[in-house]
Amino acid sequence: MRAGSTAGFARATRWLKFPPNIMEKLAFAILGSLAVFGAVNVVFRRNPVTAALFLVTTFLALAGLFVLMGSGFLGAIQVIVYAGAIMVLFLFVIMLLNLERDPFKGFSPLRTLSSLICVILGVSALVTLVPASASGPPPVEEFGDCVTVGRVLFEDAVLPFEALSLLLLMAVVGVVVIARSRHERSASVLTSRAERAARPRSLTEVS
Amino acid sequence: MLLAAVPTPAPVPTQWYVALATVLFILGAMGFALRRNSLVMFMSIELMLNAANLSFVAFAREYHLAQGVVYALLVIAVAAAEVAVGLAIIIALFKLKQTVDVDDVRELRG
Repeated sequence: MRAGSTAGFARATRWLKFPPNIMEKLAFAILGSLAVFGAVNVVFRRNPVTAALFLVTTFLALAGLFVLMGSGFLGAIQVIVYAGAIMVLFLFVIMLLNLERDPFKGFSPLRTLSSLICVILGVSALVTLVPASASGPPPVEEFGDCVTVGRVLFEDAVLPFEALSLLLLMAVVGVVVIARSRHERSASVLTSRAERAARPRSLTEVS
Repeated sequence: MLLAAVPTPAPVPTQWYVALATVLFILGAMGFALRRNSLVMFMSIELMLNAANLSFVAFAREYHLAQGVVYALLVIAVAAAEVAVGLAIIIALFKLKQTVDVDDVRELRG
């Protein structure tokens, strides 16, 4: 019998003499409030570097929640890929662009209205959908370890996996095409502009 | 047996995780709607993707299936590809316009 992660968490915190479910709920409360705190700061901080660092906080808290739920594999992937790779990419781009701090112009009323609509829709989803999501039997088995995930990934989900490799290849090629320096393309752009200027403009002048 | 000595604790219910995921999704949607900086808008998209991942894993735990974890993994990989392409677009835009403000890019506005 494999040791369940929840039981493992209870064993690890047994020296605190708390009831184990209290400990798990305490961990959920701490990690969840940390995630929400980071998310609020991402949205409302003005400096993009600060926002990116608070996003790292949210990602690490979510990794902790994955571990708490018993999927340590996904927690490790979250730390490596999200907090490691993606956020480093973000910070590199932010520091590469070297943005000067623009004066805060205030939120436009249209954007405030649309974000209020988002909040209303989300709160209605929170009120209606969350009580409807059932709470099943208590999980004791570890459900997301490497062996199980690998088996599902290469047996059931092998087609999405292969499609994903194609998608990553397309992303690599697309990034190279987009980020190529403009000098290499300027010649062709100029000739096409000259051709366009020389062309009779009857079609564009109709309207 | 060692495990028998430990009483099986009542876990954190799935509703709590789904509620947390909903709150994070609301914050991401708010950030996407409210901010003008395209980098922060991208971070808000990442926030929404992470909220979806959290609910994927919460329901995977609920039903004792590894499929939710696998699809969360696929979501992470798609997010990595999307971030690479999106940041390249932002850099190209910055080279062209010297700004990352989405309100300053209005060539396509009718």
